[in-house]
Amino acid sequence: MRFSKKHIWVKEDGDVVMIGLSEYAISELGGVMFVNLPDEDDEIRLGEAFGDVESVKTVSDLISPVSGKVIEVNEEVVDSPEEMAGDVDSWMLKVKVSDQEDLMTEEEYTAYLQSL
Amino acid sequence: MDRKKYDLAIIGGGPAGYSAAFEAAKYNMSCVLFEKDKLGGTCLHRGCVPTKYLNKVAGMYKEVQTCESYGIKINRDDTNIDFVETKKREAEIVDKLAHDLEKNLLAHSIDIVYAEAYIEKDVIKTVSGDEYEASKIIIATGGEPADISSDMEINVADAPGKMMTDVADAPAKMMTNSENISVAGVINTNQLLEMREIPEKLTILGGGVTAVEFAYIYATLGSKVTIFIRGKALLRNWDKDIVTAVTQSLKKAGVVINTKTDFSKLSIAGDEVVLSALGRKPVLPKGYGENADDKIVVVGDARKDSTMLAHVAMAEGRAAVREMVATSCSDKMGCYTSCIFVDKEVASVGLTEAEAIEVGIEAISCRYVMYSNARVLISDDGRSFIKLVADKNTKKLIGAQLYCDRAGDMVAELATVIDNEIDIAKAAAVIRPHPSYCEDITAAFDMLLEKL
Ligand SMILES: Cc1cc2nc3c(=O)[nH]c(=O)nc-3n(C[C@H](O)[C@H](O)[C@H](O)COP(=O)(O)OP(=O)(O)OC[C@H]3O[C@@H](n4cnc5c(N)ncnc54)[C@H](O)[C@@H]3O)c2cc1C
Repeated sequence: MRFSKKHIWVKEDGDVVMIGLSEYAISELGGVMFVNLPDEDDEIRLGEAFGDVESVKTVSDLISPVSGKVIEVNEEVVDSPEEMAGDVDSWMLKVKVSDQEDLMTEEEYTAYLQSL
Repeated sequence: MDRKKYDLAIIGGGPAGYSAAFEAAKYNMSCVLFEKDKLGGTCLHRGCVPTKYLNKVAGMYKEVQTCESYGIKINRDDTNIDFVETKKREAEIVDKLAHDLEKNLLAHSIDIVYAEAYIEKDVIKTVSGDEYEASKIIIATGGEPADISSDMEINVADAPGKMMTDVADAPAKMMTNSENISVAGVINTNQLLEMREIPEKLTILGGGVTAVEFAYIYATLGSKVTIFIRGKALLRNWDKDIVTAVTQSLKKAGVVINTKTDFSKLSIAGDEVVLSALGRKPVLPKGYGENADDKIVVVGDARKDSTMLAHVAMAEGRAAVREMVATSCSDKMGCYTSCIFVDKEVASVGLTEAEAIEVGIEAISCRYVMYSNARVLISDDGRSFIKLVADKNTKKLIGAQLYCDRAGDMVAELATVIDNEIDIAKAAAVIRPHPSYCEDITAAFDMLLEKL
């Protein structure tokens, strides 16, 4: 699992990548109430919002660390967002990637979080 | 023959027609109103009022099933619906409104002629042969369900004739005749509203407002409801967040939604009631359009490009009269509101974010989700939100989409802000009541201001 500064994790899964929201972000939000995700076949773009998460606090955009086409959306996360955790099971999208930003390793991400 | 003469003749006694009549009375115009059926039109008898009544019944039924969590104990074994009784109450409400409407029109010195009217040169005639002359004519003859289009060969295996009024007259099980297409076993919204029982299974063709409202009502009342649509999602042209929310609410009510349907290949088992909610078409009186005539104005659903909304029909009826008396007030029609009633209310006004972007506006939007609203929690409404759209350059509100209980009432305030280009900071500063749904309009405006 590798991480973006916008708290999105990326994990390779064959020729696609899975992306999800980091545990840190979920706990910062105080729990996720609702997730808005793109549809299958939609194109998402590096640096742009591909959806958002709602918490009691606010609505936060999900900023994509990759460009590519959405292959699959995790309906379980959409249906029960409150059970979302920062683990692989809580992946949000599977994406066929055409471009990707430099990502942090887990240690680098932990160090980054401490710097915040 | 002696012809009665009037300043204004109105053909059609629906929202467009009766609103025009009341407006004419304000200006002391002599006015005659023709209605071939019942005063109140589609809206009162086959549209807005019956559907909102049934939405209320569905909501009550749901509340009865959930009231124990509020400490109200009921004898669950006895919970059921006597739909004949339900429909009787509906008829009483509708009749009362129609009756009061008639009294009110008469009190405004408007002559009512209960007859089908048609136009011959500039004379208005009724089938019984009476003739009327008027300096101006308003056509407010409304609309009716459109026939199923010829590219659809819906195959209904076995039409369950028992519940349908017109089905016996429908010629064949499957028929595609370009003149007047009717598919046996497929009923329209008028026929569904005439039914005195809740269908066990209801299949709905179409995914517009009417389809969505009926799907929610009947699913909540216990029908197994399935929707078929051609496109990818329900509610074409509605805001994406609204579409997501309504889709989820229907699914929660048990509605199955089939997208990307090829209607030419659709095969329906035949043990269900099949409703076509695929569209409506205008109705015009005989003789209209034979001579171009600038004293005739068409308003409401009878117009080719109508919005198919009662309140817009009313506004058009009133505006047509004001135009005739040409008072100094310039009649710019404001933005219009539209609503959907499901488990909560949906209301939209002005532009959606996507529409704004499409016409080249640099749009900014925000969605305020009412997770901390006391009234939402008290009523256990679930996810509710207010979405606002502003023009980044003018810093004015240009649209709003709401999904929460009472959205249909709340949206008028936002329409006022849009129509009058009220400064957003000023609109935000209004002291709204607490606890209320509308107090979150303040929070939504604050959120928008931060983004602007
Ligand atoms: C199921 C359903 C639900 C709806 N729900 C809503 C809603 O919640 N909110 C909303 O805003 N809109 C709703 N609508 C739309 C709304 O009903 C219409 O937009 C509205 O009724 C249009 O008003 P109108 O006066 O133009 O026409 P109509 O209401 O159709 O009235 C036309 C009248 O003219 C009469 N007429 C026709 N021809 C003649 C003639 N030749 N001579 C004499 N009389 C004639 C008809 O009998 C009728 O009474 C709904 C529609 C449907 C079908």
